[in-house]
Amino acid sequence: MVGRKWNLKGIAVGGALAVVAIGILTFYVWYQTESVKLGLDIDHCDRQIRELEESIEALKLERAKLLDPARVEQIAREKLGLVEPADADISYRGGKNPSPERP
Amino acid sequence: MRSFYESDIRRRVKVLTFLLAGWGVIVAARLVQVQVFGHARAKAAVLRQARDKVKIEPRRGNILDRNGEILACSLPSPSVAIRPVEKESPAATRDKLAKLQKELGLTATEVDTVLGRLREGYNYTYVKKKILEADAQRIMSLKLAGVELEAGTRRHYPHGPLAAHVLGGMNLLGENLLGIERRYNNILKGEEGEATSFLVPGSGSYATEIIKSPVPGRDLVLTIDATMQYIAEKELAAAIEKHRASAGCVIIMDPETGEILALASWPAYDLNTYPYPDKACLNRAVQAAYEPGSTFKIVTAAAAREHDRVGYSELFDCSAGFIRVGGTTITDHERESILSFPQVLIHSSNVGTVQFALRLKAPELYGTARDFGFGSLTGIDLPGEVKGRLWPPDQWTKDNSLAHVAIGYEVSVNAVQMLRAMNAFATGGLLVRPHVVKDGIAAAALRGTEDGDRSSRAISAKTANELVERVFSRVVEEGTAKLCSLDGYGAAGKTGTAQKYDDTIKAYTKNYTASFVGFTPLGRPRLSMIVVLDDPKEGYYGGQNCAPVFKAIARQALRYLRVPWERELPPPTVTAELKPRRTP
Repeated sequence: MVGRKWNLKGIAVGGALAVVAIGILTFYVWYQTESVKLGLDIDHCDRQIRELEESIEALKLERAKLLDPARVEQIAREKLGLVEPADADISYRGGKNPSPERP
Repeated sequence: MRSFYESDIRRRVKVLTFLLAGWGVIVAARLVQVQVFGHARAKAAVLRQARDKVKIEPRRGNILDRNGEILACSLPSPSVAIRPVEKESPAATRDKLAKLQKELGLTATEVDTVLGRLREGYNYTYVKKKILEADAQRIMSLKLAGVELEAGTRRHYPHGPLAAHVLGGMNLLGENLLGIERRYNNILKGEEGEATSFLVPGSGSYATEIIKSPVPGRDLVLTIDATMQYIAEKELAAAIEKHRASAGCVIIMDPETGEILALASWPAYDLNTYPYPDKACLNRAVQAAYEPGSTFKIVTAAAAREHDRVGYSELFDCSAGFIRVGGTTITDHERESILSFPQVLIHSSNVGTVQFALRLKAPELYGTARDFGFGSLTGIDLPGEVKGRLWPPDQWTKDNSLAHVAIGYEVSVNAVQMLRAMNAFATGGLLVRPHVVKDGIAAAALRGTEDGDRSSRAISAKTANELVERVFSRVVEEGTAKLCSLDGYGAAGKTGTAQKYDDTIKAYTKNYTASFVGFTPLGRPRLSMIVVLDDPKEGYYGGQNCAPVFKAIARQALRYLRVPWERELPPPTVTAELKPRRTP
């Protein structure tokens, strides 16, 4: 029986190829995992954006209801006891209107 | 001679070949069984799974006022639908529907309709459309098999009745559009999406695959100012109640741009309460025409001045209190004396107006009225505008019509037309096009080329400015519209009181249309406004009931707009009360 002689160069090349192959596979798996993860993150962010947009719309609506002129006037008059100021109590910055000429 | 190893390999190859062939035969047989013998069943299963394309409702665009306040928006409002459930007994289906009936308040007829459709094999049946989100959550918490929600929206108006006639409104299903909702529907509605709904094999549940995403509608920005709209509606409602009028309207416009800042029509309606009352839906500012009466004298005066038929210092004898023209007698509301041309208009004398109007030829008065935009649409971007009536001179009665048209009879106008005509005096003779949508692109896309759509010159700047200075400002200061004189600001305008014509009896009645149209301040007009009251029972003169409304609205609106005083305020009046003396 003849013992096979180990070719160190061949072993090195084979090892390197194996390392490269394992590296590529590892990268591929990592890449795929990251892609899926990022996809899920994007999906999550999209959902959050939609929810926030809905919240913004709801808040805008709430604001519109709170600032309803009839409601504001009612609160001003009935709850706060405010009254309209007399003309003499109002002064405008710049005093009288510069009264530009009529067109 | 083959070695043992060679024989063994051959034997193994044979076994493997047989196994593979057997597997192939089994697969082929199964394929034949499924695709040939089971074709009909498979096709039925596929048809059961596949659904018609489902429309996905887009979010309708918001409508905002000029300051970005929401006037109309869309809220989530799903619809409840039901699908048949395999191997479910009819009794179980009825129980399920009984629960839905209780939760959704369905009528017995509605339940029967749904049951009928399920019996007939419909795969998808609406139980109730457009329900509240809270109700939807309650329904889903019941976890009823085959019951699902379809996403959708419903229109909501956070200010209720505010600007009802501008916004118009729509019902829950998005039908019966009115106002802006109708006029700009193409922009607001967006584009529907499409999805396919299919049964997930083995799970018994349905999944939806979106084919085309919906495109939401565009938001629309109006020229309306919610606060000024509120002021206009409040004061109009108060005047209607005070003078017991049957209807009325107020329009406020920016004189320079034609932007409508407020448009109120009464009776009004709550946009969130459907169905709307038929009578209230009429937008009296745009969709109703009336005989203007004396407010039309602004046209007669302009025509007389433009054609140089009258001078400011000319005098007219109005002392008789009436004038006979053709076969009719035209009277004044109270007997006047000898009046100058400005005084004729300041006191709104019909007798004096007819005297200088008769110096005009019919085509001249008609031409000026046309130049002011009467008899044609203003092009306001609200649906259903009426043209009013302005007959051409060849259809006028030879002896009467000129005099009648001169004092605002035999013609009919809508309130926007009248406001636009008065506005020409605020702009130095230019007619602007009134509009309610501020958004330039949207408006330009839809404005089209309606009759009367372009801005034009109605009269010369000289005539306009002279008439304002010498006549229409004095109408407010010392004439029929004294009640709308504002402290700190000048104003110009004209009152009108017209008897209403009854078509059934073919005669004028003792019912009136009162109006006032004007603008303020005088230096640089910021507001032009018309107030019209239909059939007021308490005080029927325009100067009595409409001019104070103008004053009340203008006072608040000018404060709101922070328009500085243009003249000195009158000194404050100090009042004192003496305590009654105690008797010893």
